[in-house]
Amino acid sequence: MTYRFTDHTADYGVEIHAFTAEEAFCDAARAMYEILFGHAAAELFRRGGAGLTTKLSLQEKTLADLLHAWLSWHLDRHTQDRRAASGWRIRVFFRESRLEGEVYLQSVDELGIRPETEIKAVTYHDLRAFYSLEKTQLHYIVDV
Amino acid sequence: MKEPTFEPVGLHHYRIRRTEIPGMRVDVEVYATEGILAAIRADKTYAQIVNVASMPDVSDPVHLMPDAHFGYGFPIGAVAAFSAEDGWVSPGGVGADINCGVRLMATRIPAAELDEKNRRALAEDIYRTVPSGLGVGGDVRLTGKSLDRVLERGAAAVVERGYGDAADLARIEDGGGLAGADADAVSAAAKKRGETQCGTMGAGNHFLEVQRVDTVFDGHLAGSWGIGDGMLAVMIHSGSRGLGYQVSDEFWKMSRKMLPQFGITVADAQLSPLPVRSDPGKAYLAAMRAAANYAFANRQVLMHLVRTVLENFFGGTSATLGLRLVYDVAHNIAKEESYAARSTVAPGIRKLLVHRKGATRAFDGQPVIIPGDMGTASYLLVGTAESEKSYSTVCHGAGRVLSRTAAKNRVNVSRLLVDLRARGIEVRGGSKGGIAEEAPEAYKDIEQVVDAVCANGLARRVARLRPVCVIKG
Repeated sequence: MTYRFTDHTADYGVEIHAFTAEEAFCDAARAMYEILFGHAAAELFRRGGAGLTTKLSLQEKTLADLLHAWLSWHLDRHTQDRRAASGWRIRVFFRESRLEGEVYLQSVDELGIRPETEIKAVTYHDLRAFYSLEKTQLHYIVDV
Repeated sequence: MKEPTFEPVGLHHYRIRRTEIPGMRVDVEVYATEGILAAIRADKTYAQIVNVASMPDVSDPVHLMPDAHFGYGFPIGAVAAFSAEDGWVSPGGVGADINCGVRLMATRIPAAELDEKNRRALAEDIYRTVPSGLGVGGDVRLTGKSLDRVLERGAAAVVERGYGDAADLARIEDGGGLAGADADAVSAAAKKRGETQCGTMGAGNHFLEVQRVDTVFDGHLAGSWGIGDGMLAVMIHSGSRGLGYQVSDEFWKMSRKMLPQFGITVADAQLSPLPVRSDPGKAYLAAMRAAANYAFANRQVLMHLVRTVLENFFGGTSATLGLRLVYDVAHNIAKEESYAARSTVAPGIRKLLVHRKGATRAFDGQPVIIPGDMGTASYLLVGTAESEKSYSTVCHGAGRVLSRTAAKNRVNVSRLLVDLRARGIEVRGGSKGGIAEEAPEAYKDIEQVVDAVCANGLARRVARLRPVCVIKG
């Protein structure tokens, strides 16, 4: 695990340190699912690779915006389709701020897990993405 | 950012001058006691309000209320205005929960009628009847035209369906329906989220409290609003639910992406504004007003559900039990209002778009509802003519002082519930974590917050209310 929750008076901040952009983006999503489902997120990831496979292609102007789009996509699946990702295979082209891959989505009702915290939105405040060939650092805040 | 100087300019009143930080365009007026100022400095709320004071064309000054704390983009407790004719609207300055707000219902039921056994029973009845918590839908189903009617007409649309009566509408900000709302400006995704959530409280800091009127400061005014010493009252805090979050999220993304087109910069991407004259700006305002109307309707249905519980529990009707809406007011909204221009060069009246993010409108003579925390007290205030200096705005609550994580780590929920019960407060909630996050120690001292508001002449005390039954999402 490469993420930690940062202190924020009203909401939740997440900081990710990883070797690769893929690892960082994966953990960014995992952290958001942990905020959403608490300990039950473990049950979700235990099913890794199960469920409906959805192809995903995102392109933004900056890596930070790509992070926002990636997290918003997961949040939208949860709020609009009542689905959550149990796993994914993604490639992040950090120089082009592009993400390609596939995500395995499961129905949260079928899984029997209930959200613990309501995430209203992923914010742009203090949204950060730093990358190099050796490491990737991300930070984001969700409104709860 | 270096910490600016907070120049004392009066009792519980400080100013951050625009010369303090490069890029600031206007001054910041801070209303705070010494203790509250320390909290504002500790969590660096000042950095966020300085960013707001650096926005293009922002009107002079911006204001920071005593319940202020760190948020995202605009801090909570921020008030900023732009020209309503050729200025900006910042979707991030309104926040995700459009028209999150509070309503207060008075009763003529003596609090003394609630012994411990009755308190528990009443809390249970309300908890069972009022949908609360995450992903919980309500009984009101709104689709197609029925949802559009709510989006465009607000509380009136649900009153027509039998949720309350027409007299309630006169006691809601803007009659419970903002003009200029357009259901077509609300996306299908947002509408889908709104189909089952009208009449649901939600989670987080949303709550429903049965309260006891503990102290009346202005008997004449309180009486005229139906508030009596020692009587019960009901306070409801909720907003536009998933529909509002969806509207906000979509326009945040749009304004962030469009920012480079407008030739301006902002210190925080979350502040990205849209020109009010542009099509996207007009679309946001139309969708925001529609979401605000949904929130008014939501609180109207919630109040109706509580009325039903009280009628059954105490055996009477709304009329015999005095179940009368005192007021319903938004605290996350952008509103067009007129104020006297400060300029000596071009005096006159300016139409402004006042952004209130965690801040309450307080027109002269208007009831102002300030919820506290679940263990202490809430306040009913009245707005004053003097509040015009803060764009007729005051605080919206006690304001957080502990982060959610810190509150969860510190608070023993079982002990808290026992302690509150010993003090005559019955709590029901969806999760222990949720109750811990909202524990009394997570909030500022409401007395200090109200002191700061009243000392600055922005409002006057009318009554203080103590919690009796607390329902958390």
